[in-house]
Amino acid sequence: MNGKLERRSFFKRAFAASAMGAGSLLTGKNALASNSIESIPGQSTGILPMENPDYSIGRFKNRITIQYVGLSCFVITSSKGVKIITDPYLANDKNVLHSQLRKEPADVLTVSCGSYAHCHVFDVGGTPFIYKITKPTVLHGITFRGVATRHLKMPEVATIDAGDNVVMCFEVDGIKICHLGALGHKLTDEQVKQIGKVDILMVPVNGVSALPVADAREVCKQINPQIIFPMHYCSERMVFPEWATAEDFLSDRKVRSVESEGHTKKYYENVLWCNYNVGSDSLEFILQADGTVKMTSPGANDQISAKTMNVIVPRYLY
Amino acid sequence: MKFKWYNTSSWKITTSTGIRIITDPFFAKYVPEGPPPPGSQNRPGVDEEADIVAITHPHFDHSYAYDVKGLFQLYTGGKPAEIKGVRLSSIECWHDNYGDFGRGIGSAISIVADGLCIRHMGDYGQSHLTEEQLALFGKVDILLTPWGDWTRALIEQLKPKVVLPMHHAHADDYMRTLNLSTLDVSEIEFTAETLPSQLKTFMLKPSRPVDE
Repeated sequence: MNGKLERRSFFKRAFAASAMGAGSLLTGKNALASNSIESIPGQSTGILPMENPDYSIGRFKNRITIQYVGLSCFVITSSKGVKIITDPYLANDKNVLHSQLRKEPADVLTVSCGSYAHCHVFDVGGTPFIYKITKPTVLHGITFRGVATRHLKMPEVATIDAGDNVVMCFEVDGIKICHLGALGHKLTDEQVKQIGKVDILMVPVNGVSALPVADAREVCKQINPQIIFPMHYCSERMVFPEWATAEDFLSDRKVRSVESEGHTKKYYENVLWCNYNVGSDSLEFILQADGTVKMTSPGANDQISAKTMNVIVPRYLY
Repeated sequence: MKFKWYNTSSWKITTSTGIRIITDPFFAKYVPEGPPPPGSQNRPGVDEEADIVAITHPHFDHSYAYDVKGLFQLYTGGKPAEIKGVRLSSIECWHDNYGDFGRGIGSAISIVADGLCIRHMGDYGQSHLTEEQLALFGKVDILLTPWGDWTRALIEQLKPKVVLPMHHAHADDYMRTLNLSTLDVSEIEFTAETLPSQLKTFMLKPSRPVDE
């Protein structure tokens, strides 16, 4: 057990170093940051700057951090360090590969429905509050609201009949986040009104145990957020062949083709596709004075505009 | 301090200050091996309110916190914690004698409240405790333990005052040697003063029976 953990932190450290290097190579702007590593407090203790909580050079004080673990599980950290984890899931060797929370200590854990793909709470450490109700509640200074909806029949881990789903709405450092959980239908006007204004929306893109892709796009239009995180889709790590993929969700977007190095690269408009070359595994956002959200982590910032309906396909944290 | 047995390893422990701790809530619909027995879909889960939910290990019949009602705090082992005056800690134990190659970890959870030391053994299945584990257990007043070949060694090592069998436990010859009283209720109350001076076993009736 300990051996595994040590190995993992070694990989993460090595990866953090390489990611910083790649960032400075790609953008050419971060040269200052990589030069100033020596002056960072904590360096003498052998902690790399990305793991050092004191490291704040070039970062905004009121930033929030969003990390994607897999399926519907996000780790959202406020500027004060309050950690919210949404919908932890059960990993297995068959189709949910390798990505699993490793006793990440949390302050609040939101659970939208009772499937093991959404409520495997054992992987979360610390002593978090579990929020799975619809009554508005203040936990660690953040108000959580639940909007009652329904989910479809879920075959993924243990079959669960269609039932109640709670859409989670909360505001972290002024940024309004809405996590749709395992929503199985288009929203009614009443539900849209209850959800209200949303800056960052997490939407299931699935078609089997949650919304079909066309309905997911409809729900995005109903809520009209600035940034959309698709989640719960089929990928190389979440091997559910009958599910929709992130590409299916983006297939109605405009594509920009760029000739480079002899082959054509395709970019979806207003989509940030984080992979191991672009973006970071912890995405940072701040609220600007005009009420729009700005992404401040290193990566392709120009894809995220101040207008609505930008999409970020996040990278897996582990 | 009140103890209410739901079924398997799931208990509700209510302290004198009214803090409700639910341990190892089970997934009512799930049957680990084989097809579900008829009527098992109607088996009620742990559908009561709690302040704290403590989970020993991630198996389906021990970790379904979703059924517990209301807003509560979770404890899944790791660092010791204190929630609302209840001190919680976990001791790493194993599900069987095969470690990582067997059924994996099944830690024991220690609950200290009202001056009583309670140890919930989860799905403990080692043939005996190691010296290191025994040192971590310390004084044990009330032991909630699954029943099997391994229980004899466990009780001899820990020397508890009260044993509450759980997890498919049935009264057997060994249990009868432990000053057994079989009760027809699922709740029992202890305080630090009324704790028996000699070992006593109380076999309760599960309040969430399995339909067979």
